[in-house]
Amino acid sequence: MSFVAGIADSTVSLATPLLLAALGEVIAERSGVINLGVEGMMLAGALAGFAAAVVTNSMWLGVLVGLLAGVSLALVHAVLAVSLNADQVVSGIMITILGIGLTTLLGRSWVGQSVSGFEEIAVPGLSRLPIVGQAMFNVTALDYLALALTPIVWYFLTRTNIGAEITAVGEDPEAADTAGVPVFRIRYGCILIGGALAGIAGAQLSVAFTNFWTSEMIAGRGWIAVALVIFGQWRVGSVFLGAYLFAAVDALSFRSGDVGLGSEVFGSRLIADVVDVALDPQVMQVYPYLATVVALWYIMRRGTLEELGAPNSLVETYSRERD
Amino acid sequence: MGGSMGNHENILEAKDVTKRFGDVVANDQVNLSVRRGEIHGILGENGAGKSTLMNILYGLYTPTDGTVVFEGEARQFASPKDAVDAGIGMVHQHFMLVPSMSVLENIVLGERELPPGYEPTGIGVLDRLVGMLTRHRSAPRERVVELTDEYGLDIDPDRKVWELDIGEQQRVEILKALYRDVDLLILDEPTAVLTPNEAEQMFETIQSLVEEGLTVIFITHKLWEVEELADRVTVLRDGASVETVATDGVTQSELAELMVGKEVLLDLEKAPVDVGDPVLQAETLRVEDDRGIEALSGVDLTVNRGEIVGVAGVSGNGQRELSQSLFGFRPLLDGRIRIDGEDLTGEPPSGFMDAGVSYIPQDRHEYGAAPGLSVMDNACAKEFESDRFRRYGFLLDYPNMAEYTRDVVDRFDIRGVGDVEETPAGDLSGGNLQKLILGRELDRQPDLLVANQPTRGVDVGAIESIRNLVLERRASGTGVVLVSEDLDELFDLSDRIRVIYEGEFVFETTPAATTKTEVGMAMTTGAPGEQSQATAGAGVRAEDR
Repeated sequence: MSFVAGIADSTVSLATPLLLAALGEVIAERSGVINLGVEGMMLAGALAGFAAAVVTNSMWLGVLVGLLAGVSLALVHAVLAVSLNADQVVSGIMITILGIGLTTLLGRSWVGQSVSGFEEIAVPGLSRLPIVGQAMFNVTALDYLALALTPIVWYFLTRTNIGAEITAVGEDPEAADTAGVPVFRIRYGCILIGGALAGIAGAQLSVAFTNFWTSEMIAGRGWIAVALVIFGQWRVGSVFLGAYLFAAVDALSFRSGDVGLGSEVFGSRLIADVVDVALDPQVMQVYPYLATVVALWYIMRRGTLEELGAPNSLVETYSRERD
Repeated sequence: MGGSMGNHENILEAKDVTKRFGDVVANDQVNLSVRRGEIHGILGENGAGKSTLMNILYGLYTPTDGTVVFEGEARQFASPKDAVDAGIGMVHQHFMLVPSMSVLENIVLGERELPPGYEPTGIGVLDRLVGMLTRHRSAPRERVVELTDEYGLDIDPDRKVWELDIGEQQRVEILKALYRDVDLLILDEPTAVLTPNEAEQMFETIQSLVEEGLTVIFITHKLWEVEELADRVTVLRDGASVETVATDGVTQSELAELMVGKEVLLDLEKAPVDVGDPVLQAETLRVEDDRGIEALSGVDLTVNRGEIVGVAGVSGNGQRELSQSLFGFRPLLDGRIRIDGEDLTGEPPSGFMDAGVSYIPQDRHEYGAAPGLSVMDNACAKEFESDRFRRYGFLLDYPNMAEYTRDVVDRFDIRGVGDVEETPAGDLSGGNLQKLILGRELDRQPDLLVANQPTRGVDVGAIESIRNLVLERRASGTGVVLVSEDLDELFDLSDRIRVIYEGEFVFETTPAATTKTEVGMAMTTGAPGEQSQATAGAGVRAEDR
């Protein structure tokens, strides 16, 4: 496999968890609730999904259990942030810390085991296209699921009655409430959907991508998903593009061992040294996070969160009898 | 007096409704009965419990005690949706619209209209899913257009709500209720945010609603509106219902007495004051509004000591920007401002403060006070850097600040303050918070007072004392710029009146030399012009009092 095709192939697999988690986060945030527990939910999904896949030897059951793990943590967030009006930021971070702690503790006995993973499914014809053929049309069912969910979530949020209600709840929950929109149910629903997608995203990483479990495997991808939502300005299409962009950077660091550049290509000693350091596999692992910082810097220079399209009531709690 | 009064059955009754928020009793055994087809006024001061009662009727609040009977049936609405389904609609004082969405989307929001031609299968889950996961707008749009025609509520369903002015937004709110087929419509202070002409139009709309068979509950603290519009009125005071009377047999002063519990003086003592030297000299002021559009196109304004200059205008004609620029709060593109002869052009608000300018902003929660901070912090907010509240040169003298605040609370009759150091300013009712701000600003003995709508949304008792306080300052030589949309206020207080229209002063007069009709005309058309009955509704009505 050529270097470029290898990058493309890894990009799709690595985009799947980012895309799933970010789509879930878009839904939650469009209803006005930020979920900073994505990282924890992905960890829980990864471990629970992996364990279920090992025990049952069914990859799909693994994904289902991963989903349920994500939903369980999301339910905690929903109860705290929606029913009890806790600070959404504090609740979310707490859930991430909880997820890290729980999975580190419970995951110890699962380290060193492995699962068979998902078969790649080739789309007849399309999979023979150069470069993108193998990358896009010969991937696992979960990769297809993430690709298919993108237009579905877009349609759901922008072309349905419930999508309009979600937008209204995110913009002004009081106005939505007085119009008869079930604000609390909608926020619960959006948070739970977000948790489910984060859980699947985590399970995809352990069950389908690495086929093993380590407690560091999510490695901040949950946070990148949150950043992607801002970078994509709460729009599904832009979030999709962002997920692929970041996955490409991620793939670059993942495939960095394949790179044979360095002093022999560049004549100058200094440039060669810089290139060597920059392409060092350890250093390259920093790139996705560096890219996140750069992307946020770039986007935030263009305006405030509101100007960028953030829902007006994002992070604000809502209760009726508050005067 | 409109309304089909054929059927005397009560459409709605509230029996001994009590609502507590913690220790505060907002409604205390309130009784209310509304007849089918009438316009029922709810009159009360700010903080009398009007909005709380309406929010209970609309399912937003759960009553602590008591029952609500609607259409002869005891009901406990769990949510606004329950109330709407039963046939009660409500237009809130602060509009409940999503600015980024279109008029049509706002009206249809939450209704989950099924696609045209879809026959409900009777399988609840399936029908609900279809309602959630589709979106069709052609039939709802026709319905909205029909309703706009039927009630004369002219509005384009495809415009975004943020593009609409206040009057249009209110029409959207009414359409929202009509679209939901309500029988009873609650209007919470519908005229508070409207210009006189818009209010006139609103009255016509209410009449036509009643002619079409609706019942209307109409909340206000303006006496003449009740007299003009309502068939019967229920007066609330301190959270309790005082009395329900037919408006035919009652005078405004009787209503006012019911409302505040004592006879109120609706007239003010305004003694002549010798006018002194100019305290404010503003020349060719040019400023932009928040959107970067020119709001003042070169206006001059001079105010002398002991003089109140009233600035009349329909909201949005530059008066907000004018009052802000006179306090250094809005940068000047052009022009000069001198206070007591001293050139303050380009100075920040602190420079104006030090020069003896006091400012009462239009929005007391956002700019006038810090609602989360204590009454004391707010009372001392402009003085805490001065020596009088210093201790050892760098610490604040809390006992002294508290004592000073108690004195202000006392002298300006600010009610609802428990412990000045503990009670948040935001807990005060609108009128009392305004008196706190006024107390802070007037106690500085300013040379110039810039007041933007000082009595807007304030109850009758507080209005009277606020106006008298302003007159007192005038008597001791303060120059006052009084921006107001309330013609009664302008005529009662001003020595001179200037009308602002599209960023320019178009008319200057004195209360004695003009009529409210003339000023109303100038406010709405840019010229005092011929006194035509058609366009001078505001002035005429004000004179009718």
